[in-house]
Amino acid sequence: MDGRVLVDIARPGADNMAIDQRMLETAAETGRLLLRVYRWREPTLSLGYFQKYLEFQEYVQQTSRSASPSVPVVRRATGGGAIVHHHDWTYSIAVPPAAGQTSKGLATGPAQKLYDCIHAEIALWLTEIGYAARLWDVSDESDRCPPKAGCSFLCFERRSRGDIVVGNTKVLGSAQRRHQGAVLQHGSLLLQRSEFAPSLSGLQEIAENPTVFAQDLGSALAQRISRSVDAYLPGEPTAVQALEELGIGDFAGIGQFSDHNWLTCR
Amino acid sequence: MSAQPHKPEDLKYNPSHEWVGVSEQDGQRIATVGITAFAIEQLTDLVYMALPDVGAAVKAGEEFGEVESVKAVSPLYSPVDGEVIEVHTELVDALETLGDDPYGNGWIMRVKLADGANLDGLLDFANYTQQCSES
Repeated sequence: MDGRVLVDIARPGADNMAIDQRMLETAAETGRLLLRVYRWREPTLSLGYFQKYLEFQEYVQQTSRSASPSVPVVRRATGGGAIVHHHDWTYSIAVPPAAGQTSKGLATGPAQKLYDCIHAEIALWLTEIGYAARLWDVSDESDRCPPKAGCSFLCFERRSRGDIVVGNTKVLGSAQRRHQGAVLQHGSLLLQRSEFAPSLSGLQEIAENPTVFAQDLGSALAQRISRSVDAYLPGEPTAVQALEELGIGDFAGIGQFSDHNWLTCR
Repeated sequence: MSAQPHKPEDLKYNPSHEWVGVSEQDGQRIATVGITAFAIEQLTDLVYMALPDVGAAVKAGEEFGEVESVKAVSPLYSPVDGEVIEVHTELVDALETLGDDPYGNGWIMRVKLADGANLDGLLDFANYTQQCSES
C-alpha cells in the first residue's frame, strides 16, 4: 500500500476540516491512502453538511450555556449530526479509488462497509483496554432516527448502525464524503464529558482508565485503524511527522471552512 | 410532477451511476437525468438531497448535486453539458421516490444540451450492467 499516517498536532477547527478535505482530494488524485489522527486546539462544534445553521442557534438557546456562543462552529463536508470536539481524538482516513482487487469495495462499495471495517477494529481495541465495546445494530425500525421527525441535533445522541457503544453510551461515530471515487471517513472517539455537551458521557465517565489519556493514545488509534484496512490495501503505511509529508501542506488554499457563507449556507 | 418511465435499456450511464435519456422538444435536445436503481440500493437510506438551480450550467463529469445517506455525502455527476431548465424539487421532501421509480418519477433534472454535446463518452446499458456486476 502506498499509504501515509500522521499523528498530528491540535489545530483550529477550520484548519482540521480543510486538511481532511485536502486529504480526500489527494487520495483521489494520487491513489495514496492517507490517515491522520488529531485533536482540536479549542472546544469546537462541527455541524454536519446538511444540518441547518438555525439548528445550532436553537441548540445554543435550549442549552442556555453562556459559554456556548464563544464555541467556534465549523461546517463539515461530511454528513451526520453535530459534534462537540473537546475531549476527543478524531481520526480521518482518505481511501483512494478502487485500484485493483485488494482495494475493491472499500471506496466504491456501500458506505457501511468502511464504517464497519474501521469500527470493528477500534471496538476490539477498546475491549482490550477494558471497555465492553460493541457495534450498535438496528434491531427494529423504531430504533432508527427518521431525519424529518426531529432527530437529535448532536451526533452522539443519535444511533446509527455500526456506531461504537459501551453499554448504552455511544463513544465513537463516523461520517463520510465521497469525491471522484475516493472516500473520506472521519470520526471522533469521546474520551470525557464536555461542559459544552453535558448530556454526553465519554470513556472516563464509563470507567476511569489511565490509558484513555495516555500520551500515545493517538498513535495507538492510528495503528489500529491502519490494521483495519490492511486486508484491503496490504502493507504498513509510512509514519510521517508533518502535513507536507502527507502531500497536503497546501491545505490553506481551501478557505471554505473559514467562510461564514459556507457555515450558514443552510 | 410525474414523468413517463424510461426503459433502462434505452438510457446512457455515467460510471458514477447517473442515467440520462435524450428527447427532442421544440427542436431542442433535452436530457433527463436521474440516478440508477443500483446506486440507490448501494446508498440505502437517503436522507438529504441538494439540487442545482434552474439556469445553472452543468458540465459532463462535474458535480451538479449531492445526496446524503448513512452519514455519507455523495456527489452527483452530470453526464452531459448544458443548461438546467427544470429541477424536480419535490424530490427533496420525498426521497423515497428515487427508489420507488428511479427511471420515471425519480428524475432529478432536465438539461438543454449544449451545442455539440454528445453522449459518446457514456456507457450503454450492457456495459453499465457489467460494471455493476463487477463492483
